[in-house]
Amino acid sequence: MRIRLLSGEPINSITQSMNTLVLICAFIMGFSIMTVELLGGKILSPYFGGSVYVWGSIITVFMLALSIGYLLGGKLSLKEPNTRKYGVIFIAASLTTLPLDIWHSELSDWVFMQIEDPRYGSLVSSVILFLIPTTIMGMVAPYSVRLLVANAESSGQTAGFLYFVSTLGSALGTIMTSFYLVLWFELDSILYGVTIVLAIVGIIAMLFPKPLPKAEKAELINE
Amino acid sequence: MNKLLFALCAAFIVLCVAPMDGEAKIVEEERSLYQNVYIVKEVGLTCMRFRKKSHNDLSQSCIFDERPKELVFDYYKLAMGATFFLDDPKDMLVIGLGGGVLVNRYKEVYPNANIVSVEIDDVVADMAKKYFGYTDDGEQYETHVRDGRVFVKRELRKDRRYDFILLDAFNSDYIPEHMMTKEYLEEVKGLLKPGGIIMANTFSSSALFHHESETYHQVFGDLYQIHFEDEKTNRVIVVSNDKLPEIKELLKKANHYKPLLSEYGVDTLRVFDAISDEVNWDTDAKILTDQYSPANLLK
Repeated sequence: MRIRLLSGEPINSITQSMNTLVLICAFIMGFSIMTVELLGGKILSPYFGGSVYVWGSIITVFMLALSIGYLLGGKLSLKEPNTRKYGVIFIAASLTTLPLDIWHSELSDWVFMQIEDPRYGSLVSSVILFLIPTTIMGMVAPYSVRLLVANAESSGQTAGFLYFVSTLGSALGTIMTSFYLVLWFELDSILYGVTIVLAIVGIIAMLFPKPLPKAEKAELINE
Repeated sequence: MNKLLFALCAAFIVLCVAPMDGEAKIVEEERSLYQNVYIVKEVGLTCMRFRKKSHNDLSQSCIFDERPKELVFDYYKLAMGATFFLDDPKDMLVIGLGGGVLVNRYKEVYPNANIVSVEIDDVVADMAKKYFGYTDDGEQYETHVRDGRVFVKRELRKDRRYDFILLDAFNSDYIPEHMMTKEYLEEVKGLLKPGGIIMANTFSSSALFHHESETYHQVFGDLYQIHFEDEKTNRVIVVSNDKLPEIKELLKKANHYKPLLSEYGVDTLRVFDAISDEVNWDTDAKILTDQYSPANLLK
């Protein structure tokens, strides 16, 4: 699928490439979220086992965090949305995954010492490890929609296409992590990889040139 | 004459077909949190399975209906080799109760030992009691329904120590990934009394063999493997937190237990001959850790 902008004005090439950037960023974020979520099982299983309730804890916290993230991301997009702020979200996501990368064993061990029941142990660990980074990761989706949407008429289609791209990223992140990444790399290497990729994406988005003000009127269509 | 021939043929067919006819009857099935647990009766055996398919090697536990004491699987027989290494053990730990077939035999061999059994699946533990004659009546015996690794970590904190630990936790594929890693083995090693013995039931028929063997090697140093020449799949690993006895020193106990274990269909001298200290794995294989344990992908 190719994205082209239609408007009365000459096609604004910066806007077009911004749309491409946003879609790539959203794809990478979708990928990263599922990579971290899947590794969550590996992080927690030495302390709380590999039972269904460990997965229940992880998925609960991810869903909760994403829902909060959507709310905050939407709110943030109201005020002068631009790619610089968009990049900051990625950098914040990258930074908040750092404690997870560095201390996941120590934190899980600490919770293991405090809570005997592996259900609540895994739930509390998931909150400590994943709630904040995943919340910030969740902010990307609504913010992406805001950057892409040109007018009210096409907004549903734009949002739909954005979800398509980011969820495709999630699907690929899930299968790549569970089938291949864990076979090729160590757990920590993959986690640090996510942190670094998010930081790079954030920097690129921040450095992206500002689109022209007229871009607001451009129309995004799928062709 | 023709009639006689016909009758003979018919009898022959009936005899051949009859056992197949009675094959694999599911007497109970229950869905647990982890898997479907099937109790299957076939050709004089009662077996516990996690899959419906009728292959003997997928059975988790089996007993003969007529002679419940006699051990069915080769790996059971290999695991009775533990007796060669133990001197009147006081405290024994079994991670992965399954049908409890081995625990039942250990109870008879060591009537004075305290035996703690850990099983993640309460349905499996119930089936062990219902179909395989397992009981934990009496103060000596405990059954814990818990993830084996979590249990081991908790025991470390409680400062409980064991003379013998059997690692026999399996799901429908193989050993769970978080129970094959260096960190797990170090935790289990920490539960041993000085000179204690760990025995692990494993397979020797996949690429994982090298990674798994080298992981044990790194954590414990020397290890013995027990596997029958003519049977490729099962092998039992024996390790200690101290120096293992010389193989020839084990012969005395193999002889001592010969009469008792023959009741279980175990030829202790055959098991003794199956003990090997040969390094038959690739020592360059990457070890399994909490960081890297794609066990089921390497399989």
